[in-house]
Amino acid sequence: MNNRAFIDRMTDKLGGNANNMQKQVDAFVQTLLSQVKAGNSVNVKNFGIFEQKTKAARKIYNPSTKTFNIISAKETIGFKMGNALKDKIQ
Amino acid sequence: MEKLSIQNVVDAYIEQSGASKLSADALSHAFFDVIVEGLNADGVVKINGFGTFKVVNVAARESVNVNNGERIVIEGYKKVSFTPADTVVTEVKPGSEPAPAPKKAKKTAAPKAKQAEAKEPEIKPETIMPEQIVETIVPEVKQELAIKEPIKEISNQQPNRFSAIDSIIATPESIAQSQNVAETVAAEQKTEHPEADTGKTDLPKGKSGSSWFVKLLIALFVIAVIAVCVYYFMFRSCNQQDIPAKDIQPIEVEEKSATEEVVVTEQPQDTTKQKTYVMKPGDYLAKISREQYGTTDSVAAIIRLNNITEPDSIHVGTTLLMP
Repeated sequence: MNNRAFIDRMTDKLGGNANNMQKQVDAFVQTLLSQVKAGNSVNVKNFGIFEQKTKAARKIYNPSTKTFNIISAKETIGFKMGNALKDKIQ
Repeated sequence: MEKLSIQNVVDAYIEQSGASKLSADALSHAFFDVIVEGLNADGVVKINGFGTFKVVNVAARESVNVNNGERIVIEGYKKVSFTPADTVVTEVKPGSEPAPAPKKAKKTAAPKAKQAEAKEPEIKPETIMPEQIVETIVPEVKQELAIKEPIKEISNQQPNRFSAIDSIIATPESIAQSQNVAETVAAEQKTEHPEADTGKTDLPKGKSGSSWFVKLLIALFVIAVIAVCVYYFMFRSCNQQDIPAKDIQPIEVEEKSATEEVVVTEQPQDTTKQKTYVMKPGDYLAKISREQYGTTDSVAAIIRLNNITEPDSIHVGTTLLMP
C-alpha cells in the first residue's frame, strides 16, 4: 500500500477529498513526530510504541582513497509492535 | 522523557490545527486502522513524511527453558518493522544537547557526553564536532588505542595527511598510515642492510653492496656442489674396491675345499651353502634377506659375510654371498 492508496483508504473511511486528507495526515504525523523527538515515547493502544532513538556517530573508511570520514550522530524514531498488533497480522 | 499516549498527540493536534475533537479522534483511529488493513493486505504501508511499515517474518529458533534447562523451540512469527523516512532522521547538531541515550546505552558514554557539553558553550562549532564525537565514541577508540599504540610512535614520525581531524582522531588514521609506514620502513630496512654489510667487510674496488653479496652466495653454492660431487665419486671408488674382494673370497674358499681332503663330507655342503645373489635395480639388503630367508634379520649376516662398508650404496650387478 503506497501513500496514495493509504490516503484513498482514509478518505473512504472519513470522507472528503484526497488533498485535504493528505494535509490532515501530514499535520497529524508532524505532531506525532514532534512529540517523539522531544524525547517522549508515544504509546498507541493496540498498535505499538513510538520512541526516540539515537544513532551514534561513526567513522567510515574509504579503502580506495584511504581516508576516514565521520558520519555524524543521528536522531530517529523507533517503533515497537504491541501484542495486539502481533495477533492482528498473523 | 515522558510516556505519552496517542491521546496526548491528538490533543496537541487539535491545538495546532484547530480541528474538532470528534474529527481528530476519528482521524487518529482511522490512521492506525488503515495501516493495519494495509499490512494485512499488502504487507507494506508507506506514508510520506513518516515512514514505511513492513511485515517481517521472524524465523523459529531454538532456545532453552530457563526454569528446567530443556531445549525448546520458539516458533516463528510475523512482526511489524518501521523504517522512518529520510526527513525524519535528523543530524545531531554540535553545540546542542544530544538526545538522552536509550536504556541500553553504555554508562561511560553518558557522563563523558556531559563533560563534552560543559566544554561546548564558548567554543565554535567547527572545533567542537570532532571532540564531541570522539567523546561519544571513546569506548570504541580506546580499544583501538590499546592495539595501535606501538604503531603510534612510528606514525608520529610521519607527517599526517589529514590536518583537520589530525590530533584528535590520530589512531584510526594510523591504520591507514601503518600500511604506508610498513612499506616505507621495509624499504628503509632494505636499503640499510647492504650499507651495513659493506661497512663491515671493507671490500676493495668499491663494489655495490647487493651484487657482492649475491656473488658470494653463488660462489658458496658452486663450492657446495663440487664438494658433493667429490664425495659421490669417493664412494664410487670405495664400492669398486669391495667388488674385487668379494670375487676373491669364493675362489679362496673353493681352493681350501679342494686342498682339504679331510673335510670331504662338507664340500657339497660348502658348495651348496655358498649361495650367491646378483644385485638388480631396486634391490636392497632387507628385501633380499626377506626373499631368501623370509626375514630381515639376515641383513647383518649378509653385511658381515660380504664385508660391506656402505650397505646403502651397493651397485647393480654386484654378486653378494648369501649366508
